[in-house]
Amino acid sequence: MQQILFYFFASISLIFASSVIAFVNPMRSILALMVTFFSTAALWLLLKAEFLAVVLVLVYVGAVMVLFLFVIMMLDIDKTSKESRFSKKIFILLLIPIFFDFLLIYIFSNYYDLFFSDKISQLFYSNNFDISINNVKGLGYLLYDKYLFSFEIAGILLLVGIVSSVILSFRGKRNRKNQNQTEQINVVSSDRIKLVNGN
Amino acid sequence: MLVLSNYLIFSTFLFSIGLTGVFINRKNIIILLMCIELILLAVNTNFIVFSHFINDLTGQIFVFFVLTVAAVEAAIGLAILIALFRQKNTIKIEDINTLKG
Amino acid sequence: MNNLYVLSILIIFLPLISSLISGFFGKYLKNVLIHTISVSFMGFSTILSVIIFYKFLIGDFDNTEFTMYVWGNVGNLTLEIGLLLDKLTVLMMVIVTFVSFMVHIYTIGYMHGDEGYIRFFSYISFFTFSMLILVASNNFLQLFFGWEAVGLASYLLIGFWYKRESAIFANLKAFLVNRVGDLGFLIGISAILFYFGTLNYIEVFDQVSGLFSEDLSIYIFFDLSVSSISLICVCLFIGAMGKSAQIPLHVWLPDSMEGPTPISALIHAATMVTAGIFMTTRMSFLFEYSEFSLTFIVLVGSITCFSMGLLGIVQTDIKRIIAYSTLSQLGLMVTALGVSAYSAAIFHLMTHAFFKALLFLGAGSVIIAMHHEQNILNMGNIKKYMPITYYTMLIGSLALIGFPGFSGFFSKDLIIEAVKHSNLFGSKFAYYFVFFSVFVTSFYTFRLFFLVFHTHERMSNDVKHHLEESSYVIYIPLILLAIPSIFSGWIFINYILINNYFKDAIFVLKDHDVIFNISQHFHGSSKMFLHGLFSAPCILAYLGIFFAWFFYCKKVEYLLYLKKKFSIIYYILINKYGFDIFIQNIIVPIVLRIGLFFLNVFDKFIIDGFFVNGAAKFIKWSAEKLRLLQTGYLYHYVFVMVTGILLLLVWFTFVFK
Repeated sequence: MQQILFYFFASISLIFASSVIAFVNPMRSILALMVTFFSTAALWLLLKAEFLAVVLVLVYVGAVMVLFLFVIMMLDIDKTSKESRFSKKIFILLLIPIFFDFLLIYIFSNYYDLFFSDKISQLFYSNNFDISINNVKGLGYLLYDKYLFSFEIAGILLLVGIVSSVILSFRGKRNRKNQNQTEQINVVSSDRIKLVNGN
Repeated sequence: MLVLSNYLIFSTFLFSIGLTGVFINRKNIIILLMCIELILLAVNTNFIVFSHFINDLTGQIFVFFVLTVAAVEAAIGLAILIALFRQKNTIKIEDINTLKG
Repeated sequence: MNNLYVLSILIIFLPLISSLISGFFGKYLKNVLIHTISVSFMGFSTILSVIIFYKFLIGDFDNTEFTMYVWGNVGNLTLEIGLLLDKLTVLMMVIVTFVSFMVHIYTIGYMHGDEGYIRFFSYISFFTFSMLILVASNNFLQLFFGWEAVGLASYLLIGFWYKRESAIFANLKAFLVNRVGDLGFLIGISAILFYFGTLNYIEVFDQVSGLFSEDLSIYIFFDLSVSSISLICVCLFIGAMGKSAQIPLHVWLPDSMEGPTPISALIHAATMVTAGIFMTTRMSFLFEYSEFSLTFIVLVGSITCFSMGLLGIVQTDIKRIIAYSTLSQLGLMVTALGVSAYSAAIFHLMTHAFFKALLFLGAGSVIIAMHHEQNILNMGNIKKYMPITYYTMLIGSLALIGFPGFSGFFSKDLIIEAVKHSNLFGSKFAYYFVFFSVFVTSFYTFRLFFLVFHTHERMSNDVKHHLEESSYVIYIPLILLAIPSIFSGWIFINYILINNYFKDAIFVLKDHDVIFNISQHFHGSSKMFLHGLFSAPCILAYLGIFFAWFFYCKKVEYLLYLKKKFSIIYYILINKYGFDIFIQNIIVPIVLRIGLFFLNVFDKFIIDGFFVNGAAKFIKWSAEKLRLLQTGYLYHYVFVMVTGILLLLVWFTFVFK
């Protein structure tokens, strides 16, 4: 049963991930990414990481992807251009990730008994809570106890993110009247005067 | 019986798809940012997988933080994109080469 | 022993101190103070060296070696400043300091009123210091330092009146010809370092016999091989040829007469030019093992002796005649070296220093009195006006020609005897040259003497008015030099032949030892004097005086007839055998072309263009190429990053174990 679920969600995930780069319309690629996130979240549920699966959907799909959507809609993108969005050397460039894949699989295969069998769970023992207890509770215990400092830092990081985002896109009041000296000095006469009729 | 390698190979493929996107994309910065999200997703999956198979919750804590950072980074990346768009009026990566040596 | 060390350091460094004082503080001190300091330091140095010499003579001191300061260690090689004091060294020190002292006193009178007065004292004291370092050194490197330093002092002093063009030409010529000799010298020293691994005299001399019992050779040009000891000795002797003005490196000495007369006396008669003789004697341990080099030395010396003497007959400048006489006598000394009569060569060096310095200083006295007139055809009958100069010059001339009883007689006859007894290849040929050179020497010396002091007066009237004996600072040194010119030979020959004074300092192989053979017949100086009154060389000397008197005092008309009859010979002699013309027109353009080639190709093109500018151009070029890596495109950067990581992964998986 688990295998069927795994293969189903994994394949959905991979197909839509490749369609993120395959779609022409950027809106569609954002939506495809959302589907990828959903199916990956399902996979995470299979791995008994319920809290994070939900967080993934809520935060990522709900906030970040929506933000992407807003930005796409805000920018004036030329959707009808006939130019290829891929580089001209695409087939050579594709080799590299493929090569990367096979290399990693080869590396995994060197540890056959560790990765390809079930023995790995018997080899490790950790002091942290067993995952079979309530996931949220376990995460809570860890987060506020051992990793409290990192938690606080993460909070500060979020604050920094907020502030910098505003600063980066801030343009000031629309009808402000301050001068830009550099612009004023670099003015050419054709900027100010246009000759209409030569008589 | 699901073993570690199943998930790891899935995560590898996801990562390389994201990587491909970064390489071959020439036209849209937003696609670039999304592919970075894909890469991060693959890494997160990796963490969750290992946390499951060695019964250690630390992996999930790490994912928590990576998620946070990724969200912040996406937000700031988009802010930069907007500032860039206001200057150059284009989001094609080919046109953004003023740091050329 | 400590006594000796302190004394010798004082002897060597007092002249240096006085030179530095006059050199750096001369501007602020009065002339009188400067010359007092210089003369008194020099005098002190002389007295100390006489004391040491006496102590060595009576046997209180023995041969010693001191290391003053080790200034470098390169592998097994120790570079040091050291002193080797043996009988040869202290004799040379006495000669150098005494003649220098006389010249210092003389300078007070000669350079009086000259604007470079203080500079002159500084230079001659510096020269004395360098010469003392040269003779007292115990290793080849210090010898070379002294060698170069005396060359430098010679350059500075020849060009002393630097505003004269001819003086500048002369000092450059002296320095450059010296340099040619130094090249050979340096090759010789390097060869010594190569074969012996050390530069210390004693260590080298100890190893020589062991090293050359076998037949070590160097192969030049396929089959032609040269025994290495011969190569070393010939190269060292080339250095001596440059410094002691043997043919063909003699061309600088006559031109060096552009300098003031005191330095002609000091440097080019008594001390610097004898450095080559001294060096060869010191290296007797090496030269004895190479018959090839000894033959070479004999031939060079004898040819120089005879041909330079011939040139003295046709010169008209008083100083140049004495200069050619110096060249001729140096040739004689070198011939003595060649036949392994080293002690005879040093003996003649000593007596020659005295009477040649006397002759030069006397000539200087005449020149000053005649208001810097140097042409002997404009002089005459000076005897009436300058008696002291007349008598001292007479003593000097008699000593020079080897008139029986004077010092020159003993040393010259000893050499001629030594050459006769030697069985070296080439010594027969050399014997005829030095034998007839006695006649030539006597002829030109008395030509000079009669033309200057005896014949009718040829100078202008206003010069005649001011003609009188020079001041006491000028004639006192003349008298003081005349005394050893008479007596030093008589006294000293006993020490050489009977007591074997130079026993440890000079090394002679058994079958070369002519001095030993001569000393078997030697029965004391008085016997030699009596025997010599009618010996063949002295007869030649009397004949020389007679012919000079005949041609220049009695029948001057015959001279013009001879000059017309042998005009070709006269032409060759007046052009100094064409050496100067050859050097000026053939060698100099070649060397100039070579120099220009090296300038254009090596200096400008290779070093400047390729290395210096080329490095900059290369950096610029590579920077231009590397700049292309920064394309500004994000995807390129990512590509490079990922490829790098991939390569690392590959390396770790497959290569790194």
